[in-house]
Amino acid sequence: MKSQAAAGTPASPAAPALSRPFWRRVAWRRFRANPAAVAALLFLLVVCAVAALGPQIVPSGPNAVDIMNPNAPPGGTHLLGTDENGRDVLSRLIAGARTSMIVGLIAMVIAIGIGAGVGSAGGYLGGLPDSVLMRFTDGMMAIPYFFLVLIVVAVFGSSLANIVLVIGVTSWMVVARIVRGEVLRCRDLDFVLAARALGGTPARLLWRHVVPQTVPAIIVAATFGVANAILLESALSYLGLGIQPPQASWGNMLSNAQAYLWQNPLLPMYPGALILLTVLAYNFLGDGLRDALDPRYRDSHQ
Amino acid sequence: MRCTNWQSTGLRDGEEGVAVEADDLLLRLRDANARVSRRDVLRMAALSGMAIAAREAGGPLGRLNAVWAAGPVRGGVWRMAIAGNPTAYPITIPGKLVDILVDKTIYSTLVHYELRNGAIGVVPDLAESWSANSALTEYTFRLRKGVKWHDGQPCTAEDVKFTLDALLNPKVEAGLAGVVSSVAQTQVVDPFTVKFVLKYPYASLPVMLGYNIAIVPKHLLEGQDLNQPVQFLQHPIGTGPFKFKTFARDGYLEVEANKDYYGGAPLLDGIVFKVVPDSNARLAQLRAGEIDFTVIDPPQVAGLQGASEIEVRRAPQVNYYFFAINHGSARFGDVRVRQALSYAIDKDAIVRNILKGDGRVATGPISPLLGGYYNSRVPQYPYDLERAQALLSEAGWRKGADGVLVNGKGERFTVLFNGPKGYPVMEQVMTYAQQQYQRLGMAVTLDIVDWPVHLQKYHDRQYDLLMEWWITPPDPDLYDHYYSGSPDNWWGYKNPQLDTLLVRARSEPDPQARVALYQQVQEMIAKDVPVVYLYYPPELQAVNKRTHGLPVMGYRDALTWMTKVWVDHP
Amino acid sequence: MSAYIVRRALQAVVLLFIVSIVTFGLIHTAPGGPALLQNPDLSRVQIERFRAQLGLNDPLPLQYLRWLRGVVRGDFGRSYNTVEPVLGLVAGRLPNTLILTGIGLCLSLLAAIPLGVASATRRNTAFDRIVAGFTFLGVSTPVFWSGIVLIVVCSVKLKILPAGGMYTIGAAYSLADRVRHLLMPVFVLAVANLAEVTRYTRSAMIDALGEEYVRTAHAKGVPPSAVIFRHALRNALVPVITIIGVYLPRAVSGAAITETVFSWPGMGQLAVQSAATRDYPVVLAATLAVALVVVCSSLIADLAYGYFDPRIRLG
Repeated sequence: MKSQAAAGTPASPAAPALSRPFWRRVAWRRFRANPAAVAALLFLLVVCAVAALGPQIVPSGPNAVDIMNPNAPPGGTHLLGTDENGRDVLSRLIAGARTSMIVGLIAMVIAIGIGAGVGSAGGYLGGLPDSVLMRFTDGMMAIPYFFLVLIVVAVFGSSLANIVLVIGVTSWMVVARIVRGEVLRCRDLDFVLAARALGGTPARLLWRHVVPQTVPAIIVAATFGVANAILLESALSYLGLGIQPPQASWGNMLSNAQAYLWQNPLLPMYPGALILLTVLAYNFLGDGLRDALDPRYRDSHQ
Repeated sequence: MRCTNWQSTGLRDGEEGVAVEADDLLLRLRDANARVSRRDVLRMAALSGMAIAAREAGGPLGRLNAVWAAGPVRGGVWRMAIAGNPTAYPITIPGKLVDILVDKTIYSTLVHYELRNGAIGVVPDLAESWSANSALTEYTFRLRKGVKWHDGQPCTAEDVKFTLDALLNPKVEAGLAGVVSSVAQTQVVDPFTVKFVLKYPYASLPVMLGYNIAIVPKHLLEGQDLNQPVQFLQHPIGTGPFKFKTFARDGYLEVEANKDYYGGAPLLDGIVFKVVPDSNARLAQLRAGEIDFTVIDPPQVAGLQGASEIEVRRAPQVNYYFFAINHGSARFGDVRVRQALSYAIDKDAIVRNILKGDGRVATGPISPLLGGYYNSRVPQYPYDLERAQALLSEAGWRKGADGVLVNGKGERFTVLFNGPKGYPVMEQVMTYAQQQYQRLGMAVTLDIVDWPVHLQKYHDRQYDLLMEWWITPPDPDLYDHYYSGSPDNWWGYKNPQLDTLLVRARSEPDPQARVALYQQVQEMIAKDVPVVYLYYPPELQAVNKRTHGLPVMGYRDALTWMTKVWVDHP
Repeated sequence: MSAYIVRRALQAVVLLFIVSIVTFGLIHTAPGGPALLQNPDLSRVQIERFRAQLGLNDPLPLQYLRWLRGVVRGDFGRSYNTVEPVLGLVAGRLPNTLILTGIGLCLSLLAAIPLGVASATRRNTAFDRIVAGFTFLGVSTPVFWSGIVLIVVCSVKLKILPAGGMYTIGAAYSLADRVRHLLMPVFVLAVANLAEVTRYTRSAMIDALGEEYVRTAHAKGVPPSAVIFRHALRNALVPVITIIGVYLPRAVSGAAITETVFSWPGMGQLAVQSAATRDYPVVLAATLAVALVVVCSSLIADLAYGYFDPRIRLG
């Protein structure tokens, strides 16, 4: 990126001083040329819009129980049928979009934030700080995850905020190790050593030179962070924790449907398909972002 | 004949009972020492007549014909799915249900239960006969002679005394101590006679002694730490029809036939209790032919349509589902409010739509399976939302501006509705109930939590309403849960008139007088609505048709009759 | 190097200590006591008595010291749910889980690394997108679904594979039988992990292929395959090693749902069950087992970094 070019070694002639807006336009052009990434972005925008508009556009109340009409097939007033309690599936999918998007995005941001922070600090500083941070990470990995969630849910309740927090706070360890690995790899690269020779605080060096090298890995981690968060919520529902009904989330719709597998095998397909598409969309978006931002990108590789 | 009785309990496969009886007769006839009575011959003729008719008509009685033709076969292993790891130790039953199930085959109880004519009654097992004094404070049980432990030692009254003493020992973590809490002292009169001296007059002792009170060997457990008898646990010894064979390390526990069983050697070679934690996986294993028996939930019945080798049985069990009411909450002090809670729930719709017809609307805590004790003519609460609203109005609750009920003092009617996680049917019922109560104007919050937390909130009364079920011995005594001073009165229910009745009823020696008293008890309870009674569910069992002779009872009781069970050989 | 290992070993001991204290504290914060006491047939009086007997009313530090004293002697207590000694219980289950997750991880790697490399070299082509689609399908289908669907298809409908358990009960030992029982759960686990390893491999390969030395190698006329395997892959493996390092502890406790659905008597199932029923001694022992594995795999991963990428200096 520009920072690399500007602070690079003086003996690097192929790095003119280009402005930030230029790079932004280049990035956007590259991104636009990537059909999968654009499609993914559009899909996610639609989902976010649906999530935001939620209550306005539901065909019927997502929590309206109709005990006389459980597991109805699609048709009539219920476009996608009803679930085990007679609630309209389509409405619940829309209501669940909001919950699942919040869970996915915010938990991921928490996990990436903590993880990248811990990982880069440990990898760069080395020595005692690294040991302490890494042993702390190891310790967090050892604490039984299910147990921790169980306690949080039992003591503080299973509100959306608590679930998001708990998923975020227990998912950062992987990110930390990944980022640390990348930082270790880049710490002693030539240009970084050169930058250090030029002086500057460790934080500045870390931020301007090392962290950009870790961005691709972080993007992948972020993609998985969202996927993991949504799926973890589903697994928690299966184990008895997670977002409680009647509040809808794609995760708990998926796990609730498995008790009715024999009566209504189609029921899990709807939330399942949406989860898959969302997770895929984040993945392609991540790829697109990474390609767009990578200064060494070659359009026709090999 | 029989069929009407079965129908009165809401069962469909009443013919199964006839098949069991035929198996019974066949076994006795094939037994070398059987003496055939005239009654047997007549019965046989009647049954074969029915079999021929059934073959013409098809249906389950057609199987009777197959039974008649093929007859019981020796050998084979029967496999049953259980949800957790069992420990075959009846004193502390750490795993509760799975232990009880396994113990039914390895150990014997003094009496056990049989289903006859639609009611569950007590029949002798280790005890041949028993009698009580007129005050019902002392019981004498005469034991069967010639019973041997699996290691060859004789079983005597000393073992019975040892078992009861262990259960009642405060230092022993005995899960079943409450069942025999009426016993003050156990005395050995002679090697085959035991006397129980009770703390208070108690009519139900014989029934209680059949409720999972398995007798353990004194000669192997004396002097051991009864909370962790390490050596005994390696190889448990009982007097039951099956002997312990292998431990559940790799996910199953196996027992093998006890050829010297006093009730006759079992037809099966052995039983395998397979640990399958996931309920869908249990059904899949059944359909794949890897297990022969599992208990299922109402939503899973649909998965067995078209599975011709599997039979779904609705086994009667003494069980009722209810919404517990926290009587410590001032709101529920007015009986009209409680009645409104019951009127607002369409119990018929629950049975029809959620249970898919497998169940019967409950009228009170005493089940129709208790035969004469059951009072069907008590006041009931058919679905009537307007009536419920009117009753609430009379009690001073009117809907405020936001639609929530408010009383004269300005308090809002909020309800914290607790339930256990992991029971889909209960969640469905609670979701429905929440909606109904919200229509009345109550602000209901569902609190569905995992099991240990649910029970803790139940015990500490941190709820307004709570959904639970109650499986009891087949006895009408309600003292433990309904008597105001009882430590197990989990709802804080206080009704002094009921208290007097309960004490009188449990100590009444005359059976007919006792029936009359319990009829009154049910009448009083129905009027006063201590809890909202919902339904009596049957136990849904999915059984592979290669199984024969398994009585159609709840599996806790059916497992005490395993000597009669046999399987087809492929 | 050996000094490094010794230092890590000391850190490990301290860590295990801290983990045990934290877990102990957490356990006793959890509302709801042991399921043993949550038996609805027990009277209030009995519950109180049992609590006292199990030592649950004593102050926490005292309870912890009591447990520690036992551990030092090799006695991890007895399970509340099955009355058997905890050490034997955990030791019996650990190999079962390791077999399952070990083979799952190997299969995962065997498939993921080639897929990741191939995706990197065919970046943004249809192949890349399709591989992404399939691997994400594997990730987005929770095991409690994919497991049951597989069981219904393979065991119930087609009847070609057993529906659960480790081996056929009553039959003599047979390797083929064990393998048949392993197939479905291992497949499910491998598929669940596939996407992550593939993506990280792809990402790292893309980075590595863009490096100066790779272009130099091309310019020198080194054949493309050699470029990939001898030069780029080594460096690309760094994040892969990290992932493996993270998977190993997950391997011990993370297969809980798979083990539940396939009735596999393993550690994951034990950890979840004991947490759900508040079987305190087992939770503590299972946590320590996981902590031990975490510490070891963390060390192995760090050592492996040094081997694969000489530029990485540790410490």
